[in-house]
Amino acid sequence: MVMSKPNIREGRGQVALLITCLSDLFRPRLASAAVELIEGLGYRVEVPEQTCCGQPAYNAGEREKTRALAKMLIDRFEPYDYVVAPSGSCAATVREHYPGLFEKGSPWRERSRRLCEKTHELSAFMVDVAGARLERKSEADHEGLRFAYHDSCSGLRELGIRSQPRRLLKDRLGIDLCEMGNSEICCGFGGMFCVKFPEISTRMADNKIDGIRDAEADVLLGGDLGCLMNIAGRLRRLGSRTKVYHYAELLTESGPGPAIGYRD
Amino acid sequence: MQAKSRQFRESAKVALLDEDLRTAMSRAEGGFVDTRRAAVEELENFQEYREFARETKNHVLGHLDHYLCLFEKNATASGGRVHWAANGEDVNRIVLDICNRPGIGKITKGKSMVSEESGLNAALESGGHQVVETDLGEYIIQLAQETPSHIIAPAVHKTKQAVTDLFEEFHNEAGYPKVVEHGDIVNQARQVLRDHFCTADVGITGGNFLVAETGSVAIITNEGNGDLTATLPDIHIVVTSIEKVIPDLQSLGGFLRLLGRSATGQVMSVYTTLFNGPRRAGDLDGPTEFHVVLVDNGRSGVLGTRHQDILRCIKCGACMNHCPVYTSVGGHAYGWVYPGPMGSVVTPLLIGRKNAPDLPYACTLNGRCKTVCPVMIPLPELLREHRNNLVEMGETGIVHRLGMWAWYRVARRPALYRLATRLYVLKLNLIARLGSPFRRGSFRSIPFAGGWTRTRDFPVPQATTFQAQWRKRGRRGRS
Amino acid sequence: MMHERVHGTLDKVDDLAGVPRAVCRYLQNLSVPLRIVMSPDPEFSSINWEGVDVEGRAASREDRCSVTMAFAGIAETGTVAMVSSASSPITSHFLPEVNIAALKQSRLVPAMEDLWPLIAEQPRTVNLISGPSKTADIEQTIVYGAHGPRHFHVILVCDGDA
Repeated sequence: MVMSKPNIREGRGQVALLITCLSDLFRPRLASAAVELIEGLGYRVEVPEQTCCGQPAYNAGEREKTRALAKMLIDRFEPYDYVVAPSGSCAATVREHYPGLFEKGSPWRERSRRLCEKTHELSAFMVDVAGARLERKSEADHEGLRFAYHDSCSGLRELGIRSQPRRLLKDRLGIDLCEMGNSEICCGFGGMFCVKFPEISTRMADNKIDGIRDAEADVLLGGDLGCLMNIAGRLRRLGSRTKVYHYAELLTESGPGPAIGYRD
Repeated sequence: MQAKSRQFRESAKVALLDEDLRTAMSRAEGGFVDTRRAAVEELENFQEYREFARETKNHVLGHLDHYLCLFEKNATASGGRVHWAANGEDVNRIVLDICNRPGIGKITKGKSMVSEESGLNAALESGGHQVVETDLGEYIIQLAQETPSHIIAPAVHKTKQAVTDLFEEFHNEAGYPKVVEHGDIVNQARQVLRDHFCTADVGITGGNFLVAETGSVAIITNEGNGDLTATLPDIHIVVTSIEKVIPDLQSLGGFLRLLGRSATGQVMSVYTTLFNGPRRAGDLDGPTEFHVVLVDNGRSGVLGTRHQDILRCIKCGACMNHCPVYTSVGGHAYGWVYPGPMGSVVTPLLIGRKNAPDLPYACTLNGRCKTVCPVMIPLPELLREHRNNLVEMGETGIVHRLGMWAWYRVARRPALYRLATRLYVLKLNLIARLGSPFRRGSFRSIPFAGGWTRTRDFPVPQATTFQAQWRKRGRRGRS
Repeated sequence: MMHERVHGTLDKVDDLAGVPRAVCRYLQNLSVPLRIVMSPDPEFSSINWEGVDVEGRAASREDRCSVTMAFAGIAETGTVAMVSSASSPITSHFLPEVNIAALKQSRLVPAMEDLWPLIAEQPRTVNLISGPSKTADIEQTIVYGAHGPRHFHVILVCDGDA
C-alpha cells in the first residue's frame, strides 16, 4: 500500500523512503527531514508501507527470517526509481547483503540485485546520485558551536560513506568539523550486541565519548540512528551537555528540533 | 589448553574492571594501529599484495595435500623428519617421544601458538622436563603462569610495573637486582635466558611459513630468540600447523611484505630464517636432529566449508589490534588460544561451536578487522556464518530465540507492525508521562530493557510513528 | 639500501682490504675491545687484520663481537642475507652483542625475489637479517638487544662490480 497521492508529479523520479524502524518508532522527525531533503532535490517521495529490512535477523544468524523480510521489502520497493534510507546500515543490508540471501539463478536473486543497484544511503544519494548543491543557511543558530562527526561502521566500510555528509554539512552550514581521533571506531551499538554484551558496549561508548571530549565538540553528528541513540544515551547518563543529531536534521530549512534524548 | 570460551560473558565483565588491563590495552592499540598505518601507506601496491596473498593461499588450500606432501618430501630430503599430528594428543605424544631419552632435561621454546592448543608445555613438564619460554612476552607470562593474550604480543596485557614485580619475585634468588626501566628489564631477561639458551637440550619453535618447493621452515622474530632456540640445542623441533604451507620461495616475499607491516608496522621483521634440515658435514653449529610436527587439530575439517577462508590467516594480529571489543576486554576473555576476530572465527571451528557459543556474537560487525586483514579474510561474514550455524543448531539460548520469535512475528505482518509500533510508542509515552520525573526527554530505565538502560538513557519517542504521521498527512492530501 | 631505516648502521669501504680498518673504527666508537670472532671465510683469511685480535670460528657466548660475510643484500628492506656453511656459522649472527657484516656491493639485489635465484642449492639456513635484535613486548616500547646483537653494522664493500 502506497501512502501518498496517486498522481505522480513530473520530476527527476520517484524515491521510496526506507524509513528504518528506529526512525519510524523513535525519531519520526528524522524521516521527515529525509523527505524534505529528497523532495528539495526535485524527487517525488513515496513511503511504501514497511516494517524492517531484516538486519536484526540477518546479524543474529536467522537467514530464513531475513529472507522472508527481504522478499517483502523487495516486493514493496521495486516499483520505484530509487530506494533511499537515512541509515548506512539499513542501506547496506539491502545493497550489500540481499543478493547473497538467495540461491544463484533464483528470480529473487535477480530482483534483489536490481533493487540493490538503486538503493542508497541518504547522503550518498544526495551527493553522488542527485549532485546536490545545498544553499548556505544563515549561521546565526549554530555560530560558535563545535561539531564532530561519528562515521558509522556500516556506512563507512560497506558503502564508503565518508565525504558525502561532510560535504553537505559544509555546503549547508558552512561548518568545518572538529574531527575526532576515533571517528571511525565502532561506538559499541552493533544492534543486538549492545544488549547482549551491555558492559562491553558501554566501554566502547565511553571510548567514543573520550574522543568527543578530546575534540571539544558541542554537537555530535552521525548517519545511523542506532549509533546515535547509543552515544546520546550514554552522554545523557554521564551528564554531558553534548547534543546528538542525525546530520539530515541539520540540513533542513527549519533546522533541527530537540536533540536525541531531549524533550519536545 | 583447557577451553574457557563458554565463560566469555563473565570473563569479559571481570576484564572490564581491570584498570591495569585498560591502561595496557589502550597503549598497545595506539601503537599497533599507527605504526601499521604508516608502514602500509609506504608500500604503494599493498592492495595488490593482499590480493596476491589471498589467491596464493586459496590455491594452496585447494591443493593442500599436494603441497604438504611436497613439503614433506623436500624437508625429508634435506635430512629433516616430518611427523603428522592429527590432534593435540598426537602433538604432545610425538614431542614427548622425541624428548624422552636419557640426558634430555631442559627445553627452550620459541613462540608457538599451535603448541598452546595442546598444552604442550604442561605435557612436557609432567614428563619431567624443564620448559623455558624465550620470547620475552612468552617468558613474562610463563613466570605469571598465564597464557598469551595476543598472538604476537603475548604479554600485551601486562604493564611495566607488573613485569618489574614478576622479575623481582623470580630473579631475586639468583642475585639479580630489581629493574624498573624498559632497557634494564630487557637486559635482565637477556642475561637470564642466555643461560637457558646455552644449556638447553632441545629447542621447540613454531613456524610462520612452510615452503613446499624447498621443504624449508620459515621462522620470523624480532628478538632472535627463535634462532637461538633452533640453533644451540642438539635437537630442533618445529611445531606448526598444516595451513602454513606456501608453494615456493618466490611467493614468500609477498607474504613477508604483508606480515611485517600488518603485525608490527615493520617493513621487514628483524630475523627471517629459513631452516632446511639438521647440521651438515663441516657445519660448525646447528642441531643434529631437525623435526617438523605438522598439526591438523581440526583444520582439515574446515577445508571446503564456508569457513575455509580463515585458513588463509598468517597470524599477524592486525584484526585484534583493530578490534574495539578485543581492545576493551583483552585476549584472556576469549578463553582459548586465539583471541579477537580471528579467534572468534577459529575457536568454534577447532573446539566446537557448542563450546564457544558467545564468541561469534561478541562482535559488532563493524568490519574494521576485514579492512586491515593482509590476506583479505571476510571476518564479519565468517562470524555471521557461525551465527547462522548456531541458529540451525538451536544453540542461541532461550532469550535470543524468544526475542527473535516475537520480533519476527511483528516484522513480517505490516498490519500487526502498524498496530504494535503505535501501541509501543504510546506505551513509552505513557510511562514517560506517569513516571515522575519526565524531566529530560529520556528514560533512565524501561522495564525489560535493563541491558540498555542500566548504563544509558533511552530517548522518549515522539507521540506517533512516522508511518502513522505520513498516513494522516496523506489523507489530508499532500502537495 | 634502506639499511638505516631498520636501525642498522652502514659504512663504506673501497675493497675487502679496507674492512679491518672499518671494523676498528666502529668498535672504537662503541668503546668495545678490538677482539673479534670472524667467520672462517677464505676471503677474510686472505686479508690483513693487523691491529685486531681475530679468531676464525663459530661464536660462543663469551664473544662480544663477530664479523661475518654476507651472501647478499636486499635493497628494498635493508636486509642482509646470510647463507650457512662450514665457513659461515649461524651462531655468529646471534650470540655476540655486536655483529658486523661485510657486504659486497656486487651482491646487492633490489628485492627478495632477486635473492632466490642466487642460491643454487638450499643451505641449512638462510638468515635474513634486518637490523639489530629488538623487542617491544613491554608496553610497546622498543628496546634493542633483546636476545641477539644490540648493534648491527654493515660494511658495504664497493668492489666495483656493481
